[in-house]
Amino acid sequence: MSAKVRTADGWMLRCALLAFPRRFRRSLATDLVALYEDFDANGRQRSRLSMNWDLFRNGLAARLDDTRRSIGGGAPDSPPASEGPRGLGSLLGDFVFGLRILRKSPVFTLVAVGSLAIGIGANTAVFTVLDATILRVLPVQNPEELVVLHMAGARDDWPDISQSGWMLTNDQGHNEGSSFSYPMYERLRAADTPFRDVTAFARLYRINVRARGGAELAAGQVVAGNYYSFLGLRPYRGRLLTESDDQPGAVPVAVLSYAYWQTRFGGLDEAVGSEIFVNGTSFAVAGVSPPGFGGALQLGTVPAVTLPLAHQAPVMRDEELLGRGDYWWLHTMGRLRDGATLDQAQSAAALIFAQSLEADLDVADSKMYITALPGARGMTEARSQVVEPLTTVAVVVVAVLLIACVNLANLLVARASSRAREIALRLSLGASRWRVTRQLLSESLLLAFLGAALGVVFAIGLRDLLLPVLDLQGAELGLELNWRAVAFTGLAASLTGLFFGIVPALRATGVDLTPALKDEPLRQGARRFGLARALLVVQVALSLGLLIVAGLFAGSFAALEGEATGFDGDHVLTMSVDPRSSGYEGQDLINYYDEALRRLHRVPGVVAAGVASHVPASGSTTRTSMRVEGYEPAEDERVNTYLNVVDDGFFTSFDIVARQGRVFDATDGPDSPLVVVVNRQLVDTYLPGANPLGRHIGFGRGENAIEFEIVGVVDDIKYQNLSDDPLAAVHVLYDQIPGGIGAQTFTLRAAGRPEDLVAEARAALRELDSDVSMRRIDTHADVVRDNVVVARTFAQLSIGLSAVALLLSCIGLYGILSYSVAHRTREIGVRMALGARSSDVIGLVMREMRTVVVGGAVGLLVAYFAVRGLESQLYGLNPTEPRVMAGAAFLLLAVAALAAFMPARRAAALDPVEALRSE
Amino acid sequence: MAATTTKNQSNLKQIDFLVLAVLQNGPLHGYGIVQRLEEMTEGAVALRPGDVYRVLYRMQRANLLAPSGEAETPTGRRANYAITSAGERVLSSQAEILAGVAATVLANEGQEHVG
Repeated sequence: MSAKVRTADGWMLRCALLAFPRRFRRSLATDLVALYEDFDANGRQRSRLSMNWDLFRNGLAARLDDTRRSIGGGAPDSPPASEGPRGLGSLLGDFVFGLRILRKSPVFTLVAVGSLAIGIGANTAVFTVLDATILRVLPVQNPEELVVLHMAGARDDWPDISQSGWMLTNDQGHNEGSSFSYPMYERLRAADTPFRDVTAFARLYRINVRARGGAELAAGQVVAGNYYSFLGLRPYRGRLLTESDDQPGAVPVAVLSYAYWQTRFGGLDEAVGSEIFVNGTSFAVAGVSPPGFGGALQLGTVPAVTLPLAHQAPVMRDEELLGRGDYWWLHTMGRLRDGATLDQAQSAAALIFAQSLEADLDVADSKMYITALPGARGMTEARSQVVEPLTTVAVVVVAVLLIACVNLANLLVARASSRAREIALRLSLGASRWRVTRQLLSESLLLAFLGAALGVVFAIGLRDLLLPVLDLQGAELGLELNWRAVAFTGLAASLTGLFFGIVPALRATGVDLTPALKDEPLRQGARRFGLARALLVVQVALSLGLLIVAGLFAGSFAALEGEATGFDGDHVLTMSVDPRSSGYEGQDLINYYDEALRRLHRVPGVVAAGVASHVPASGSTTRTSMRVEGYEPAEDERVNTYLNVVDDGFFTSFDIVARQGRVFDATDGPDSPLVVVVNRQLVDTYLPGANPLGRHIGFGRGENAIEFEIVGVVDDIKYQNLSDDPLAAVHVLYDQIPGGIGAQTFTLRAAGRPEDLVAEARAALRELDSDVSMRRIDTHADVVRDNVVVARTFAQLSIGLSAVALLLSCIGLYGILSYSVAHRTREIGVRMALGARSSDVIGLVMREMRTVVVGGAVGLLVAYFAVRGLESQLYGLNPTEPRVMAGAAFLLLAVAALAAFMPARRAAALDPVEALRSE
Repeated sequence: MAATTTKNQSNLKQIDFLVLAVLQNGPLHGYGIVQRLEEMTEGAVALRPGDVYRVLYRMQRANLLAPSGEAETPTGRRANYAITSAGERVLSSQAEILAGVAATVLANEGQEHVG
């Protein structure tokens, strides 16, 4: 080799030369390099890139020439015949050859790569989302010191407060929330507690941000002045909020999130100091928070704009909340002093909480209590809602990966036995065992690589499908694919490929050459299929398990979405208003609603118009105590009911009909007798067996006492969550309950798409009084969507994944049976020559179904115990629901029988003479 | 003719044939082959170094040519390649076939022009 090559391009050239077969490098490499120099000397050399490409391309081509040569005309493909110690180059050759082999059996390759891709992709996507939603810790200073406070209590002990934010039912069956009043926060901060410091923040629901000449909706938050210093964050640009920004009369400033600054302001430095309008109020941009920080609010709520608490009123419909002890809306987060514990923090906070209840709400000796929880991941209620379904899906995808791996193993085993003859031929022609084994291994690895590559593509798609469901914005969370998951699943697939590539390879290369060459499968076949059968049992068991899970989710989802809701909101548009903030009260307020409804009725396309204080399935409710005529409550019992202030149009717009008596109609009004429509639950609970019509329901005490007559009973309407147990509900007319009316939601039933009503309905209300602003306009489907989206998605996801699992199992089964039929062709021929009929042959092959039945039995048994873990996620369905179990088992058997029947029929159609002669 | 020769002929690629033709006049080194090929085909066949040596490698393994000493060139000593007797046999039988084919093709073209 010339000096020039050895120095400048030496190593690169040597690498490129590795593409060539070893023999070439031994004899011709130096001459080839010299030729490059000649080209160079004659001014014909092009770029180094083109040289390397030239080398690489021709090197591989030379390898292919080698394989062709060693085959000779008409002989089966065989790998490059190079001998001696192996280098990178010959491994590459194995892969090139492997690719050719795989291309020769496209179905096998497609199935193997496809099932691996699904397994790897699904796992990567789910674990990426799992990591980002459940496991990720806030990117702040010492997050382990953070504590969030919750307060909880029995429904009956709940004080009379206005509250916003999440409310869940905890383990004790109590309501639990994470919102507190500002006065409570101030007390907590002022007191000497185990907290080094305390901060507060609250979500702003859909703020209108006007900047750079355009307006758009965004998520926002208001925070205490110490928020950023509390979290230990440094600005990315400009400065973050400080205590002095959070003073009455301070210049209004705002902080942008990094993601919002990038998308809305193009990441320009000029954004800092510019003016933006939030809900019409001017703020100066003080700075940008660091990338990766998306606030500490609930999962999926990433505030784009952060404002100081002192300026909450102008952006929150002019409601001054800081002074109100009866308005609970602020999340409170503390940072523990060194050595302080959660328990100490909890006791200290409980004391302040009790003081606040007494001072602000006049409630003494309340049974309400405080819990202190680790705050390293921020607010956790929304997250806690997805933990269980996500965990289930994680288990499901792991099962799918297992099935995919088993399938691959199955295919490889079956293939190896079908290739026994080819392998025996090679061995007999002098190939070493290691040589043949290596070839089989490189094929398996190649499959795993291809599967992983395709899996990544699949994962990206699935992740993008999951994100909107969980209400997550990938960009803002920085939700990149989790490469650890890719690596892990890819490794799992590779190991599977290696193991199941190696076992059949060792067996195949260990075969006694003579019978294998003669293709004498009568005795050998059965033994070799032992492993394949064991794999099939595992696969069938897993598939059945997944089918059952899918069946349960589907059933649960159907129960959730179907009969249980008690209303039909498909064509309903909802519009919320609060005329009180524009000065309406008393009779004026009632008149406003009267007139608004009259006008809305006239909007083209409106079939029915109504009004309600609470829309079904919105999660918004009013609860109150009542008296029921004919029911004597126990000593301490409070008779609670949902109270919904409506009109007659509410029932027609949601297509709610009376099951007994009547719903409201035009004859009911301010001057007619006071009437209510109750739900079935109220009757069942308090008036079981009695005729509820004509009985009375009372609210209030003393002078304020007011009695209504029950005129109708409707089905239980889900108000809170679709999965909640029904509570008694009373519907009253808005013009019959003075003082009971306030913020209301119009419900418009459309003849066509509810979205089409928006413009004209909005115009009609603006025409009536443009000062009354619309708080929220949504189709009712969107309202419900928020309620069932998690259930639906996970139902769809598990159904989809189970379908894939079932498909994979069928492919596995079909593969096993086809190979077994192919293998037993001679045996079948003998039998048929001896007088067996087609039906006998079909029976013979179908007997392979025994394996499926065994697998199914194992699957049923395991599933019977495993699905109990799903109980809390299912609605209206027992996890061991026999219909689901039986249905899944039947489906699996039916599909498996179909997969078995096709090879069986092929076997029966064999011509005995041909079969005897086979191979 | 022996079966192997027939096979060699049928597998003989055009480029192999051209290289054999170039070497018919005596041994050549790599760059010489490239140059002579270009002259002979009036620039229609221009090989890159990788192509040249892949072809040489293949033909050497098929025993159509063999290394044959070295040549002094302006850029240094270069390995020469010479056609083997097997190569000459293949070359001449292939040339006969191709000559026949070429004659037919030209005759057809001539007819077309006439017609």
